[in-house]
Amino acid sequence: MNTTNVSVTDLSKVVSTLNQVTRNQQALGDQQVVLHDAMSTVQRNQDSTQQELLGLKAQFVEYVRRDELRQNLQLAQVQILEVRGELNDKFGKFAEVRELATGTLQALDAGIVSQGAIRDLSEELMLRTPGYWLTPALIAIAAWIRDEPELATKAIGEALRRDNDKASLFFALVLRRHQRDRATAAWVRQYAARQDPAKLSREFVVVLDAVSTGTFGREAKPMLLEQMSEWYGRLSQEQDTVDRQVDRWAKMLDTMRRPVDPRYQLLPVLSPTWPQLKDMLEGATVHGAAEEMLRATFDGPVPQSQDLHARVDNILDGLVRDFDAEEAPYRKKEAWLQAVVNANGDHDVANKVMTAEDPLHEQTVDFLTLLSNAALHGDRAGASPGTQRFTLALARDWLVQGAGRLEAGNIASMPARVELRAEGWTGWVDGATDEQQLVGSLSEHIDRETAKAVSEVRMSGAAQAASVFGGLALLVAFFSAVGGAGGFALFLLFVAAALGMWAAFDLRALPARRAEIRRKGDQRRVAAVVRLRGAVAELVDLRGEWQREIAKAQSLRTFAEGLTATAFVATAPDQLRGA
Amino acid sequence: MNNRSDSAARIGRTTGSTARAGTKVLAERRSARYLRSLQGLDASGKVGTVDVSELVDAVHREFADKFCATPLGIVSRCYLGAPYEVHTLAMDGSIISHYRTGEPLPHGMDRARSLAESDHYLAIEVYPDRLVCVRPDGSTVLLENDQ
Repeated sequence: MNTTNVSVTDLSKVVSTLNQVTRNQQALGDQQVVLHDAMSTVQRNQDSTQQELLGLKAQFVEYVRRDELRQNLQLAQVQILEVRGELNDKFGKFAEVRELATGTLQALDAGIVSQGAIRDLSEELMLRTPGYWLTPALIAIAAWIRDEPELATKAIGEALRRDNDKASLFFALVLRRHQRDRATAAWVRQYAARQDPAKLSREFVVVLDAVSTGTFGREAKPMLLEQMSEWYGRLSQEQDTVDRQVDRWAKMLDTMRRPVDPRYQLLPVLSPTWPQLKDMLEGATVHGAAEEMLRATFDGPVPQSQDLHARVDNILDGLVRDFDAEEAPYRKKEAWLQAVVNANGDHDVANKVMTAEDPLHEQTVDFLTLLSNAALHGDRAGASPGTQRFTLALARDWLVQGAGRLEAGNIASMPARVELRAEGWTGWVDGATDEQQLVGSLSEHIDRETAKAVSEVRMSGAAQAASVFGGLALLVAFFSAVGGAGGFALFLLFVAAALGMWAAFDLRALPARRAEIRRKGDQRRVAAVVRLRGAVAELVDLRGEWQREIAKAQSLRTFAEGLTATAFVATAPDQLRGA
Repeated sequence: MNNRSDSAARIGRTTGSTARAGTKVLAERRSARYLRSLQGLDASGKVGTVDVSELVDAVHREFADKFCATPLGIVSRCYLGAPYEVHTLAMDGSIISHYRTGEPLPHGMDRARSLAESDHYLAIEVYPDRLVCVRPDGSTVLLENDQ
């Protein structure tokens, strides 16, 4: 009985202890929810930290790239000044002779400089520029004016010995300046007869210039046109030569790519096919760019002086200035540095440009390449705007074929299907894809993942063990009670109740965790579907843009095929009607 | 400087290379008659109702008249609709075959497939060493094999 009394007192204590335990469990449960929330926050923070790190890495790579470009640009800007300085140091004295060439002719026109002064100056330069062809040519002109045929003949001989081709053209042009057309034709004839259309010097551009601007006289112009058209016909039969031109035009047109619009933001992230799509769209833009270039070249009248002297002087200037072989390596280096500067320090772009214009820096080229040079590079090949139009019209078939090859290559590069990846899901878009199906497939994938995560939410191992041990304790308590060990049974009852409550609380927290996972799964699905729809919309835009760009190939072709060379050959001012 | 003997040697080489001259004319515009025959390849909209021999004759006529080389085959877009994608006219067996999406084309004609599927070209002529894309207006684009 005594034991029973004690037990009643103890029981009230046990009940209060149990109440305490219940409260503690409740508090523990609350803390667990708080902990769970905190863990979700940590997870979110980790995600955003990872995003920020990725962003930072991208920014760093971008920074390094920009820094490299900036250094390349600065270096090129410094070096270009050095090269120009070197050109000036080594060939600066040639510049004096060059200035004297047109200076002499214009002074003679005006008749205000004494013949003695011209003679003194040219003879002094003769001593200072050994080996340069232009000085004896100037002495010959001075002697011719003073009517000293012996000295003139000697000087002409020396000039021809130093550079036969340039000197011949020089005398032809000087004579044309004074409208001695027959003598001009004689010089031009012997010059043209010496030329090999497979190995023309770069200064032949001057002849093109003189023909297209109508600077040569009545006799020389038709003769040259006939000769050039014979070369053109003959070389056009050589497939290799023609193929080289088509190749060059294709390469040059390909450098006109415009960068893709930055409004495409989701496709680059979601589609592993993006690099191909980008390349395809950029490749398609060359046709529109080429047509704009052509139209700009042919827009408006060619700036052309109506004065024969001015036209000849322009060409003479070009002849004496642009084509000296000794300067070529420096000019090539200058061109490379200029290309780097133009590309804002990007060596890859500069290299591409230099490869495309490689033949521009060769000393001898075939006639067709020379036409391409003048048509492609105009001023840099020494060709005037008029000559550029004339040669562009002659080169139109290569341009059309080159553009055609680029177009075909571009069409063939279209990927059969576009891959999209999001949230561990992969889908493909081809001609037969329905957006709704894609969205459905992505939603299903995310829902499946969510369902899997939900099904993985179970009682913790400790809680499971607690319920098992609680059950065991209850069983042993029962047997102890039957066996008469009341105190022990009571203790075990207490233990069983505590373990049971713990397990119950763990079990009660499960639905909340599942609901949280489902909520997140829904958020993920909604966000992923929005991004997928955005990417599909961008793909539709890109297709439309590509179709618009590639359609410009037809318009470029129509424009180019409408160009006819003879329309761009001007008539000399002294041969116009009424002149 | 330049001399004439050099030039003469060059001219000699040029006129000697008749094989290369063949590739030059390949790029010429195709005749309206030939284009009509190519369109006939698909005009019926049904398999097997086109008079194949007439078509092959038209192709041979076109190439025998002007060009040194006859294509191995011609690939063009199939308007039968799904699942057919392209059809080929093989010049050896002179048979028109229609191919489904993903089904490979024989005789090295597969390289013409992506071009043939586009509506930019009426047909693609396949030669051993090159492809020639024929536009609906008869103009052509020569593609070397490596492209």
